[in-house]
Amino acid sequence: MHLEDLTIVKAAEGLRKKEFSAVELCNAYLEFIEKKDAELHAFLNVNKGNVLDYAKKADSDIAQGTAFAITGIPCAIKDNILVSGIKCTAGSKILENYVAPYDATVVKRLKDAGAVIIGKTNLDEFAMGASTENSAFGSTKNPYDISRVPGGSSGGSAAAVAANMCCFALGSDTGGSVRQPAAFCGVVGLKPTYGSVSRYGLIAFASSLDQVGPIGKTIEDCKIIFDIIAGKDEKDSTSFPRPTVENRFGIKGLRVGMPKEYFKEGLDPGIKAIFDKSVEKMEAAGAKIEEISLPHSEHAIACYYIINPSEASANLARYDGIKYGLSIDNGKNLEDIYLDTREEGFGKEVKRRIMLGTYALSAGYYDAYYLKAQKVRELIKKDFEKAFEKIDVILTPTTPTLPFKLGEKMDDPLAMYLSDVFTSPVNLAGLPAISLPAGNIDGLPVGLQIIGGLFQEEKILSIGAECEKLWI
Amino acid sequence: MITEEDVRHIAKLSRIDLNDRELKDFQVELSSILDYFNKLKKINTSSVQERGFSANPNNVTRKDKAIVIEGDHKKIIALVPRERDNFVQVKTIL
Repeated sequence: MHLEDLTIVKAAEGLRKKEFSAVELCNAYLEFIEKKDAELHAFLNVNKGNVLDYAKKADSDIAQGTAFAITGIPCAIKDNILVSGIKCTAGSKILENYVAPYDATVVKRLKDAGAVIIGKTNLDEFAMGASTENSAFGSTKNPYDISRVPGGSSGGSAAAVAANMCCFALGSDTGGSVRQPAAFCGVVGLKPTYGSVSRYGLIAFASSLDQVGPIGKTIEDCKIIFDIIAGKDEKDSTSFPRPTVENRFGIKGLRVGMPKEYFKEGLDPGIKAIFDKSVEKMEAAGAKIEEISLPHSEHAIACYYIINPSEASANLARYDGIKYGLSIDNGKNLEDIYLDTREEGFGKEVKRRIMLGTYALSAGYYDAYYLKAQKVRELIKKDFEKAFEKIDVILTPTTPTLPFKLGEKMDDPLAMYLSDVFTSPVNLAGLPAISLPAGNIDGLPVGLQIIGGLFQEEKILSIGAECEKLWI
Repeated sequence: MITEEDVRHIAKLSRIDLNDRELKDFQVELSSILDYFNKLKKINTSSVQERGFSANPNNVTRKDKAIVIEGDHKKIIALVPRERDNFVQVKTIL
């Protein structure tokens, strides 16, 4: 038996039946990381120090019958989510030596449920990117083809799950950062409704868009993790209690919307073919496919890339070289510490976004950019609301292209931004969405996205579970 | 196209001491990104009321009460680059 390629469900079953211990399971993953990660670089930090202590504790809980669904299950956490006592770099030189003083709420909930945190995964610096190439500590490679990107910004988490270096992982999704890497690495990723999951202890990037979400091998695994991390948290005033309404759905009689604007240009024909085949299979299983219109879709990227840098420029003002992190003190005045620390500590994309956001918020430009974008955001939300009046879910490709080559888009920020074309509207509207594998082209995975109405995670997960069986 | 002076001004507001190369690169890159943003100008938003957050329309308040959490102070001070007597040390401001 290969312990490292088990799903959460199978691994938990094996632990319960004493087929292997949590320590053996953890060691299997550690060995796999040792073997594979030199090439893939999915991890920034492997928790060799005390990970086996957590596994031993899990074994004793299992022996005493006090285990939960994920007791003893090894997982990885994106390195912009705080795990107490472990470095949290956000992929940035400015936080290279920052040690998290507390657990993020999502981490606390995973630990309370018995998960074993095996390491912290690579990401684009402060989650700004779609390829993991913006990490200050080197790119992660796609496990399906190491000359290609794993997607981003949660590229390390997606690659770690895909390459069996952990059983599941957490990522964060601001404009597609869980779903796009999940699609590129052939795994499942869930971006919850804004407010479903606490952001306490997630390093703030664009606060009205950020959500933590699970990346797993199956829909069922993602649902298990979502059920653990979701719910109201006193420490995040934007978090919501889980809705108690049961909203499970099957494919039969399901009304599926296909936004016509998503198929205009720039979509890889191979991805379109897989999309069409998947739709046919759903129709054969009794779904009704309807063309819908989201008329403001074409403006979503412009809208997103005004709001996102604006919020980022405000959030990243805290990195001043005074309170924590890198500090460059050349012996001059206070302002020079700010200027020199930020020049030295931030990478190019982070500077680009801070500059863009500062510009969009500055006197004389606020109305033309930020306020305009906020208004367009309302129109994008209304498009979705209107669509959901007559359909149950929306189906789209997750990405317009296959995983691209390392370096291919690094000199063209706008081309990189367009990787988020199908995913960022969902964040603007605050909706939940999953990406799940639907096939592959020349060995490269293709993912499709199912979008639901607000707080309808259960609905999209139950539909996704059926699609999982239909599509592959 | 925005001017180099504009870029310098934004860099100053952003508190980043950009070097000459970065200033030149950003002048070109930001100009093309801002041009792309200008497509939003075509959309009629005269009757749209903007809202900040996506899901919750209500404000959330709590009592403004300080809570002492034992042990955190030490961990937080340990992260401070320059510290003196358990306080954050900064350069003279005035």
